[in-house]
Amino acid sequence: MMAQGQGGLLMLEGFADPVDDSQRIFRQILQAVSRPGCVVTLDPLPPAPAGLNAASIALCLALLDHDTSLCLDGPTLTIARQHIAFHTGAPPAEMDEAAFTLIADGNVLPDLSRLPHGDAEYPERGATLILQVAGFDGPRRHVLRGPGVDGTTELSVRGLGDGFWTAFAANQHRFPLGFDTILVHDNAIVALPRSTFAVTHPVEA
Amino acid sequence: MREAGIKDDEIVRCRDGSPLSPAQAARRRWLAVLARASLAELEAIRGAIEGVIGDHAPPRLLRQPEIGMTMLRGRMGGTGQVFNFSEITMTRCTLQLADGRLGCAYMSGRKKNEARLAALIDALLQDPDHGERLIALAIDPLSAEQAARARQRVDKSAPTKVEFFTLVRGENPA
Repeated sequence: MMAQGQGGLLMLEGFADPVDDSQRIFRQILQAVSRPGCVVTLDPLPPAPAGLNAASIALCLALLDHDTSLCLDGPTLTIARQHIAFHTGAPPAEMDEAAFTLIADGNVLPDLSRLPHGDAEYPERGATLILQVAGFDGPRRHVLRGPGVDGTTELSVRGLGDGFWTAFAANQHRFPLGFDTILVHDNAIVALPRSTFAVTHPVEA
Repeated sequence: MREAGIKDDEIVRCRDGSPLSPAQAARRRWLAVLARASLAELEAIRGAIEGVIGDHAPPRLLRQPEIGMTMLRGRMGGTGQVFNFSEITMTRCTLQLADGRLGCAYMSGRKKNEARLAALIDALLQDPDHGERLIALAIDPLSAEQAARARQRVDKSAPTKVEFFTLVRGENPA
């Protein structure tokens, strides 16, 4: 069914304790999504295949199964693809149909308008976008507001192309439709659900 | 009635439609034998294999033994339309030896220990040097025993088979 034809390649384990660990990660994702802009550190982390952050693979193992399609975008992710397919059974899909889209490099973005954003009867069919970025610091500040944010909060992200913020602004006008975003760096995540508004401040001189 | 064992090689194909290679067919056979084996039988097989190959590094469990459900399907009389028969519990396990050989096990029931052991045996049997010897030593006798058990069950139930036929049709009174 899977496991065959891998030759001498050494494969990686998933969660040490598949049930409890994925529930712990799920709880931490809930925490992140209910507090947009907050940096949440994930723990415990499974081993990560080349090209993916530890938190990315933790998200995948916790959220994906054979009912949730995944679009994995980025070069040299063959092993990551096999790893996710083996451990989750998530079917691969094109970005305009996938329930989850994982982009390996936030600076190299495909056309985000292709992400499914659901329809009036099924807004939950909007995609979840997982974006790997270079860090949660940097010169540009994004002021966030919306449900889960007390007043406003600020977020800095390094390694995220402007194309994302353009798509994110377009996303805000579709609510309750739209895609939900989780930014990932190393072992930490920041959620930007579709209900969050962002205003980008220019680089201070 | 069909006997337990590998019967329908002609309909089992790879995902791309090509027939199974000899190595795949051999693996399929031993996986079927292992899936029916008891814990004691599996322990004995592992002992026999380790007697030949000696010690080996402990495998890494890629997928720890886990229990799930699968839909069992059947054909009436083995030839009719396919229908969903019932869901059954299944246990599966995948592990990898240090040299990259993968072993996997799928078996019906809640049998974590059996699945772990069967996956290890599956990986060990893919031995490029001793493979055939190990199969003759460990799998062939158990396969024959399982076939004998299945035959016994068929022989016991065969005399109870009832043939239905109509003597006089109700709508044609004499």
